[in-house]
Amino acid sequence: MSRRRGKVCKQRKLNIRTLTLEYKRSKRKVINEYNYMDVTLDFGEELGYRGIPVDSSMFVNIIENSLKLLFGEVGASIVFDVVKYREKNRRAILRFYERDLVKLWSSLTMCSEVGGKVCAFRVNKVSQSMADESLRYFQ
Amino acid sequence: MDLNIIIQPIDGPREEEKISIQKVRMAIKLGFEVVALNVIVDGQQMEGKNLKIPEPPVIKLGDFEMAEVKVAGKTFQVKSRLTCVVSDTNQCHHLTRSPLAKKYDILAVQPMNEKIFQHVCGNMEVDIICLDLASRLPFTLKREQVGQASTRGMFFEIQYAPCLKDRIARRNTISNSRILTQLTNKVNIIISSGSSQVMDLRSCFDAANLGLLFDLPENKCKEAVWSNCKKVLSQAVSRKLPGKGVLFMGGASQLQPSDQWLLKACKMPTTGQEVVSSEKKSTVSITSDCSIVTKQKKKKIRLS
Repeated sequence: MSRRRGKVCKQRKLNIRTLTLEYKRSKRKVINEYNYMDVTLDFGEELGYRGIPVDSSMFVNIIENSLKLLFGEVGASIVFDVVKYREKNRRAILRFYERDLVKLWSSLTMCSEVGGKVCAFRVNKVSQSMADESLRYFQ
Repeated sequence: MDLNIIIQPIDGPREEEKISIQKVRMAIKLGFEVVALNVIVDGQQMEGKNLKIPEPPVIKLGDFEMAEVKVAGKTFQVKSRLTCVVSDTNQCHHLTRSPLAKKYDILAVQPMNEKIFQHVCGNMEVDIICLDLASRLPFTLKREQVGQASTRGMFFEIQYAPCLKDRIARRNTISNSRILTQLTNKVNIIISSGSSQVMDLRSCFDAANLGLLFDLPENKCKEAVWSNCKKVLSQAVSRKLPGKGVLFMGGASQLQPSDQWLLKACKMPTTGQEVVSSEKKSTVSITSDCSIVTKQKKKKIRLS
């Protein structure tokens, strides 16, 4: 039995060695054009401020307005999509081109009022692929 | 790091503490590690011998706040900061003399004239120079003065909270800060909030991204939020320390066993000669009475 065990162990070691030899480091060649951003619209309800209900269309409108306020017509021409939106939490995933990241992000931080109420956009995550975004918040 | 959260004097100390605790809690939630509570003092309060500088604000954080910090595995510090709006050299003199101003961790000055700006850049010892970038600057900034301040280790501040609400203020801040970054060669700049309300606070990554609007490159943006603020704090500590060197005298027989290496390092030189030992960068000189004089920077050696 002892010999057998020894043989088995040797075989296993060999297998492990072959596995390590086969392993190759790969690099992703496909470059994503899009970036994804996880955003919530915060009215400060924890602190005692009052908020207003926001639809998905209104959510898009707020971002477009803030883009136009900061960057003018050039900013208004930036293309972005709302991939997912949860009305209860006012949390959304945005998809946009990589080149527009700085403009979109800075316009989101500059937004401070919606419908006469104080608000702020909280950026939770920015990533290059959709797989990185945690979708459990949107179920 | 956010080195500018403004605390306004509201009637009733309880309400003031309530709001400041709200701000600190929000800062913890947004991921800050160091926060400075700012007290602004006008020039009128600085005139005469009777200064009206309030005591530095103290905040007692409860277990509820500290639990959030511990979950993230971080440390959290609350510092105090004094900002003085100065328009006269006499006020600067009173500020440097006053014992209450030394109680604060960070000292900042907001000059209103070109004369005062020149005085602050050349002579005063402060950590931060903050200019009112939201309105048009009352004087033109010159490269010589700004360079002089940056070589002396002072930092210029850009506040983003005033440009959140007003369109004109936003326009002014972006244009003024672009001038400032050009003059300082994009170093010695801090980005901070300067928020008087809770909802004006933004997270540190948002602030770093805003630096791109102010004409800073990407690495300098991160420096302006994180590493430069660390430099300010370390400089503020060194400003408070009293001396640059400490001298003690005593006989060679009185040396402690931990300091015996000094005798070996000297190798019995002739009397009155100075020897610089390489081990701890301390100068050792032996006098004619065979007593040893040690000198170390910012370190006290006690010979018993």
